[in-house]
Amino acid sequence: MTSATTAGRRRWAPYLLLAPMVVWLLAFFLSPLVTLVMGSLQSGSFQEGFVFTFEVANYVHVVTTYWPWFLRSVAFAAIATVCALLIAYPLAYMIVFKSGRWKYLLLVLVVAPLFASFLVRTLAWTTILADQGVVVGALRTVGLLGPDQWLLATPVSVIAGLTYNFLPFMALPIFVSLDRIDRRLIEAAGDLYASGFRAFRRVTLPLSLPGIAAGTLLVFIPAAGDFVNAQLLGSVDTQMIGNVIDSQYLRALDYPTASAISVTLIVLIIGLVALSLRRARTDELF
Amino acid sequence: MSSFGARRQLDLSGLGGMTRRQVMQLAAVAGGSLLLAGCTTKPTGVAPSNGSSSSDQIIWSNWPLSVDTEDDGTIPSLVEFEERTGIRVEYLAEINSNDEWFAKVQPLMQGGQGIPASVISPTDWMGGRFISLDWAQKLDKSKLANAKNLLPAFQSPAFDPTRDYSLAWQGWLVGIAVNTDVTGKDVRTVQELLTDPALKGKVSLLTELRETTGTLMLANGADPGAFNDDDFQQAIEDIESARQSGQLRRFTGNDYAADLSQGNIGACLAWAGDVVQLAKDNPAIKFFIPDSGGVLMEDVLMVPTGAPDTEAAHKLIDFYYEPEVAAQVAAYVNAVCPVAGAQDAMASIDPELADNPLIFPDAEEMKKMFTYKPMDLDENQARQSAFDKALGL
Repeated sequence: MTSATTAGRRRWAPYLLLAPMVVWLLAFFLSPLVTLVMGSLQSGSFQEGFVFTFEVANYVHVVTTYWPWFLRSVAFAAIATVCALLIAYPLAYMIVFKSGRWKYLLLVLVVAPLFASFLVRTLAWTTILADQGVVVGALRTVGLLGPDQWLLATPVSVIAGLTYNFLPFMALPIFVSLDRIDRRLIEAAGDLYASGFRAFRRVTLPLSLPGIAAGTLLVFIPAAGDFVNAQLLGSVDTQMIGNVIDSQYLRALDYPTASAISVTLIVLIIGLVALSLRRARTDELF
Repeated sequence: MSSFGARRQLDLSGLGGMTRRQVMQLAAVAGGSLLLAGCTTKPTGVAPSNGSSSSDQIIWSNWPLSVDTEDDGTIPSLVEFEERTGIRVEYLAEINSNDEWFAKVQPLMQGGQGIPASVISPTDWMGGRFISLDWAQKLDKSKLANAKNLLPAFQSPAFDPTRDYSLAWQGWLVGIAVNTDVTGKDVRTVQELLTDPALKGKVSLLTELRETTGTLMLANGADPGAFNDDDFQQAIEDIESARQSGQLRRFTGNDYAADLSQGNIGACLAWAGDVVQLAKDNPAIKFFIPDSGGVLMEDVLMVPTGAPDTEAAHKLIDFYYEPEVAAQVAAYVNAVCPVAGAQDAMASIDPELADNPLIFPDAEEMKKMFTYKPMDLDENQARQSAFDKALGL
């Protein structure tokens, strides 16, 4: 009798423990997602009202009309992710292995910008990259920019903004995975006559791959859907898919098209992420 | 959060000294995200309290910093209103962009439960949309003794020709702002703005459909209050060709304030009220109503259908049509003041502002200002799509 109840309890316990999570997912993930997908299959106009007609043509319209914006968003996000990786990896490496007792202070400094509003940080870049600013001045002095060229309102400034804004999300996971590495493994590599570089390439780097993978996802996904950087630092030729959604939803009041773009973006990102994860797993790179 | 909000405003005043429209733009780019919600606006969806207290407290939905505001956030005119009438007004700075605000109130209005605000102050065309959707109440003129102070130029706007539903809150005149340090000269025509090679890459236009296409149509001799498809198409083509020639650097909300004062932009379309403030900090910044005329937008005072307290709403609207009160607001906001007698009242607050034609334009200058025609939702959607395409969207 008692053992039966215990067994029963044991059987139900995991589900009960999961219940809050399931409720949360249903309420805040699944139901908005279903609403979004349903909305993307509607037809009609704002004036007459939108009705669900299983309008698959919305997707045809979205893909044929807006593929250049999808492409641009993916490209900008990919470049920003690579830039963030190139900056964040050495940064995290230095913090973990070279900063000694300053380690946690430096880590706080990496995260510190997140305490200011996203918009303020982005607007600050209009000052940093201003025509009369330091960066443009320096680039003009060394001849990389002509006197009639500038950075603001170009793809460069949008990608710089994306890289900067999402950098902490790359640095933190890499920090964690580097910090977890057992130092004795690196010492062992040295004992086996590996050079410093070789030890890094064969031991440290492979062991930090999970951090790189997590950071890549955390930067690429929000960057692909971002529209603030393109709006404040960009121009007509740098509009990203997020800006199109904003325009279609709020300004043109075309809710089905805006929803269809959103769903397409979600599917596209999931597809790209799944593809890259699969590649990363099968490739025995190092 | 509030401390960050305050710091942000300080930052911006460092950039350009502009507050009101800039905050609006900031929140507009947030695109409904909650990033800013905690900083600049109070939470929405505050239900008006029931029972006896509902008669002494109302909500006024408006733009951030669109009313006289002291550094600590108190609003002197509303304090005075409460002293006189016993009605406490919550100034709900929830309109950061008309479109965004509409997306927020639309389900409530359409569902019939109404919004908590008793007075709303969106831009005229959004007010017109409220009227056409039957979401606005007719004003009871017998309760608005001061409505007679409405300036003649504001008396029959296209969106509400007989002023049955609305009074003007503030006028926003669109013209050309110039940083003469960059251009070395004045820019007085749209023609120069769009084609002068000396300004190449140093020009920005506004992301707002009416402000930009209206100004361009005026330059082509068309009336934004009564234009046809060809007039509109011509304006879009003018934008396209200016963009392809490299004349236009970008389209802005009121972040042009930063671009202009930093010298990234030499000349741009801008709201007069903003530039009055920018020019205070930097005498090189000037504002011109284009020779061909400027577009005049207005924020309205309206009572939405189902407003919790129509009586108090009328008292509030009437209060702001007292010349002294209107002058007090105009001294802070610097927008075009629609209240007769406010100019005289301003003379005792700030004589310099009383002489400013951008706040108190005379009859001659008012002739150079045009309003944009009201459009139904379908036409609005079609024009907006065409315009957004020119913006690269």
